[in-house]
Amino acid sequence: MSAPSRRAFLRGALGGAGGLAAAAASLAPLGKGAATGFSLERLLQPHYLRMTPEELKQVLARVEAEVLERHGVRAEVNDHKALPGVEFAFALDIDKCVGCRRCVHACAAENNASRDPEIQYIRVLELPEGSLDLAQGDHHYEHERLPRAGRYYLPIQCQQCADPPCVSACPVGATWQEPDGVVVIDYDWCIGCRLCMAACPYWARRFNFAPPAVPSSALNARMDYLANRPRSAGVVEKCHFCLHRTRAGLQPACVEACPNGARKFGDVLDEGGELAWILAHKRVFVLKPELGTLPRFYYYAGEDSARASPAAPGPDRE
Amino acid sequence: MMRGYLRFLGRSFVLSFAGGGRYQAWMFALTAAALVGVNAGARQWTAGLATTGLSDHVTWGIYIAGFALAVGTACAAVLLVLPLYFLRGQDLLDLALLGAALAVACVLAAAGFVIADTGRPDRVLHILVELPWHVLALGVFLLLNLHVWGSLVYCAYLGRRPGRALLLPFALLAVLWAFGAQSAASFLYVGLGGRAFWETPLGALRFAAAACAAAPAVLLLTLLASGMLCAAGEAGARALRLLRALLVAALCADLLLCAVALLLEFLGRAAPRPSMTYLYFGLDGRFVLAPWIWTALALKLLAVSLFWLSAWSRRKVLAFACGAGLAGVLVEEAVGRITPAFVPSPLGEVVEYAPTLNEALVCLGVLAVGLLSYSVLVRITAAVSAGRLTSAPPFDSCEKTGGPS
Repeated sequence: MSAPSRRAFLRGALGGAGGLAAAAASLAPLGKGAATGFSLERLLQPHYLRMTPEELKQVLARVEAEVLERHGVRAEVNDHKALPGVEFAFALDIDKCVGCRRCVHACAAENNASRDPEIQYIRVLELPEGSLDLAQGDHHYEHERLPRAGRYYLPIQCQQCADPPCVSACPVGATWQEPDGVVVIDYDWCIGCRLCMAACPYWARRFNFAPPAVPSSALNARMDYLANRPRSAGVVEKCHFCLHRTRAGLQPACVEACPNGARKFGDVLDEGGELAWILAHKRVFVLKPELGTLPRFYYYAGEDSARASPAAPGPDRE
Repeated sequence: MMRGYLRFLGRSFVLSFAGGGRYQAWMFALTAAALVGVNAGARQWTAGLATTGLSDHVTWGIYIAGFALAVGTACAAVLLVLPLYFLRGQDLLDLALLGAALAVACVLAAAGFVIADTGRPDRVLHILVELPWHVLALGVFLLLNLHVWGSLVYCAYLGRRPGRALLLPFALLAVLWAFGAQSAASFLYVGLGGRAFWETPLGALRFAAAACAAAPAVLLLTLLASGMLCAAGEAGARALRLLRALLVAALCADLLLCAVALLLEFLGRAAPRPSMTYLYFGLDGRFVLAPWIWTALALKLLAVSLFWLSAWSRRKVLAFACGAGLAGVLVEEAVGRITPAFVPSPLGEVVEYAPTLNEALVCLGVLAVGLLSYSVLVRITAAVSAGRLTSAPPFDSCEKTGGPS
């Protein structure tokens, strides 16, 4: 080997070693582990809709084991299927809502939503009487006494659209509509691209920007795979009509928490049911009807229909 | 044959590391930037996307803007340059090669931006399992351009004319496919209901015009910086003229469309859409984006006036004008195409977005990786076209042998 080529070789080797060292140094933060948590089992797990009953059983047991390990809580992770011949819908009496936000907090507690950073599925807007222009809404109102004179309150959560734009936006089919109308998410299939959030006209979806934190003492141990089981960082979540409760014959947590009975939930196909009665007898309206999303979340003015006339529905599009 | 091709790959590999001081410094700087980006990416991976300026209100920022611009530029490079080569003459071979190389590098950068943006990059596998059409469009586009670039370069290396049967159908398909990939990028968001900002046919046109300005600007700067012009002689001058014409036309179209959009919005509508008001003038006293969008406009105007007014043959002026035009496009795409759609939110809240330092460093890293791959491809292209990288004869005709890609 001649002198110049040896020098070139040494220089190359030195450069290569330096480069490798720099590359290794740049990866140093990985020592702390991924925000998302990592498990090969979960990574290779199939899509919920393609699982065999046997695989599903194993996955549910795995989730239970994970909860036990992380929180020391013996959780029951179910997989309630949609009930045949049932289509869930929601109706909200804006005359009765006083904006107390008890539904917001009951929802977060029921659904094991992250407390820090705080994730809430329900957003209550304070609007001036006579306006349905959402841009005029106050999202962060704090008053000693509620409701305030001259204002009314409009709680907004996932509208469980019959033609959901979020579902067609998802590039990996991680969110879909169930036979009972509930739009659900497989948190283990979501890649966190947030296309569904860009597609949602109701700002109903939330993203886990950081690892979600729920105190073990506050954990709700009754869980469903498609509902309130713990999520990881980097995935999207939202209201699912409390399907772990409603498919078992209970009411959603927000309905139980409402002190004024403003929230009504039920099966629209049940002709003798409350929902069918409200849709037949009240002037109901939906948000942004012009988008054609066909929400299953109806609003109406129950006590005094003249107060906030729903005859001219549809808030302005921003 | 196979051995000859492997030898070509080996020599190209060695060549990508060897070069003059300027090349070495450039590659060193890019490698350093890429590593800084990797470091920032590792931080994001450990702490989650909370390291970015994104929020539930503004869910997309400069990552998706970078993705869209990278795809747009890739498509524009192919759309503008390949037809020139096939219709206007074989002396534009260098240009065709650079165009395909730029497309390849841009698709790689686009993939980097998407992976940076996802909350669960470990689940990339799911994208491959489901294979949505936009991913398919981009993947095939990448392969087509690798093939076109590879077979053109390899034939030049062998000293043969490229075999038409192996090249032309793929090149034609690449041009057609560019439309598909372009729509994959722009219609990723244009079709989303409830985001009034994107609901305008002008949006896709303006995006295309900006991309059609970015591609020739990068190619012009490449020609000026790589020393390929001197080697190419008269053909180089011709390539320069054509690129300049394309760049000026695209910038003018872009400015015209921008003027039309502003007129329609602020004079033609009873009430301008809040997102547009926010972007250009601010809303509720918040105006992070407004200074940037006007800066972008000023840079583009500056570029166009330099092209019109100056003796453009002066290389320094040309490079400066290209740089100004490219910077204008970059700034406009970064602030003006994605984030305004999220402000105000669908429920009317005005929450602003500005990228964090970590987010910017990740972008820097992705850009550096794209530029690194582009620089390697350009280096090989330049060496082949200058005759420095060439095979010893004899070889079979390229037409008979398999297409290297």
